[in-house]
Amino acid sequence: MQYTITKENIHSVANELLQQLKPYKVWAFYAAMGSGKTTFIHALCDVMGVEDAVGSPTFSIINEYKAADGSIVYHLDLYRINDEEEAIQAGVEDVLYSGDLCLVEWPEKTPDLFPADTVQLSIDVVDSTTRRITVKVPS
Amino acid sequence: MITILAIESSCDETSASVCRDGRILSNVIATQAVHEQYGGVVPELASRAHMENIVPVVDKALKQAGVTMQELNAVAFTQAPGLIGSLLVGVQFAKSMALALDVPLIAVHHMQAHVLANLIPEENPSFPFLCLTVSGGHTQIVLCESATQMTVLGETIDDAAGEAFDKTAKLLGLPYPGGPLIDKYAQLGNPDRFHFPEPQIPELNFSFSGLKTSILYFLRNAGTSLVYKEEFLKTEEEQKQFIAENLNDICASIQQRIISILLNKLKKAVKETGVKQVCLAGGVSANSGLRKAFVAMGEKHHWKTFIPSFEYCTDNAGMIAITAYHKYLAGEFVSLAVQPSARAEW
Repeated sequence: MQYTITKENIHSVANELLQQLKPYKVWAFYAAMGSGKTTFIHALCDVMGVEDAVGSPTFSIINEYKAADGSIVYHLDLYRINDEEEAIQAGVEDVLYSGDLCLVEWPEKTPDLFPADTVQLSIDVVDSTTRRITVKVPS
Repeated sequence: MITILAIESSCDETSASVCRDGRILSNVIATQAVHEQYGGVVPELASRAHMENIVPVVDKALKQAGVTMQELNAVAFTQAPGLIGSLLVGVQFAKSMALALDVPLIAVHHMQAHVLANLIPEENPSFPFLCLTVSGGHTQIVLCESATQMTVLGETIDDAAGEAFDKTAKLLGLPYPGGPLIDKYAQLGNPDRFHFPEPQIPELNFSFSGLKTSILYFLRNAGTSLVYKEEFLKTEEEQKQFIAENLNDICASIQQRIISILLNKLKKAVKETGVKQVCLAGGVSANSGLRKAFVAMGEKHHWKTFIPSFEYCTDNAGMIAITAYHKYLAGEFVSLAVQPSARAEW
């Protein structure tokens, strides 16, 4: 699946992905710095009715939000993590296997920690206001 | 006489502090000094590090304060927000200690404590005051009406200010955390040389991710444009040369923009609330450019400005202790059933 995202349609794409990918609990976002990972995750949280402040978890590593339906949403950022051991110590593994929705930035830092049914989403820059998101669902 | 022990373990630092009648007697933060004294290598980032640190850090805080455990009137801890595994260490330790000593337990919100760090120095603001809290993980403007009544007026919708510094530094090829290096080079550069856009974010909220993207393409295009277009992209060699030749001016221009984003919102908050006592808090308040611009803005607009000393700006238990002291006076205690929370809600 591939979607083109602009400022105008970001919430409708977010909504569609949340419907399409409902069975999958771990979403790994592969994209370079400045391509809009946090911004897109923000849009996903808006659609889910998260009222907590959605910010970048680069410093905090794991942010926890509550969606409108009461479910927990984890927003992870492994940017500062150096190895798998550190990720486990920080509680990343517990969260990834919790059964709650996990939106993960910089998953390439600990590739082996992810469950087999992780969805891979990559974001590419088309131009300064347009991004392309490619979704790879586990087979 | 009210003597309180406070523990902070929400993220990377393990810290303990003793406070008596609102005066900080000790503020120990787990650093190499503690490791040297007690031996052993401690990973930088792990709840295990907190477990290894917490006993020596509390011990040192009590000794430095010249206080015995029997003299404590309450034990306080950071309840939220933070990494749950890290918070748990402090929470469990504080609970056990309060239970053993049969003294009340006080739960403190980490971000409220950053604001109340401004009450630690002898010359401190009276209520109400505004506080701009800037750190690696947070950017907030808080209206503080009393020690137990605070409102978040605005906060970041994406990256924190400290993160904007660190990630920009990474784009420039500087080591992590690069924020202090940007500050260092900025002092040697011309802040008006390059122009980065100021985001138009409604109300008192902040955004730094658009600025980060502008800087990314500015560097990829070796200073010729702020937007992504294939024909603008320069070779890696050209990008590196551009950075090397203009590093000071680039840092000065970026720093000036980050500071203006912060202070323009603060100015707006003062205008909207009419509150003219204004404080700075959080680790990014160590940035010399921000301090200078903050003080200058205060003089220009006749604000009374306050900045706590640096040891109370980064994550520390001193700020937890001062907050706990005011909660003690207000009778705000929690039961042993209290749980930590990763969520940032107030």
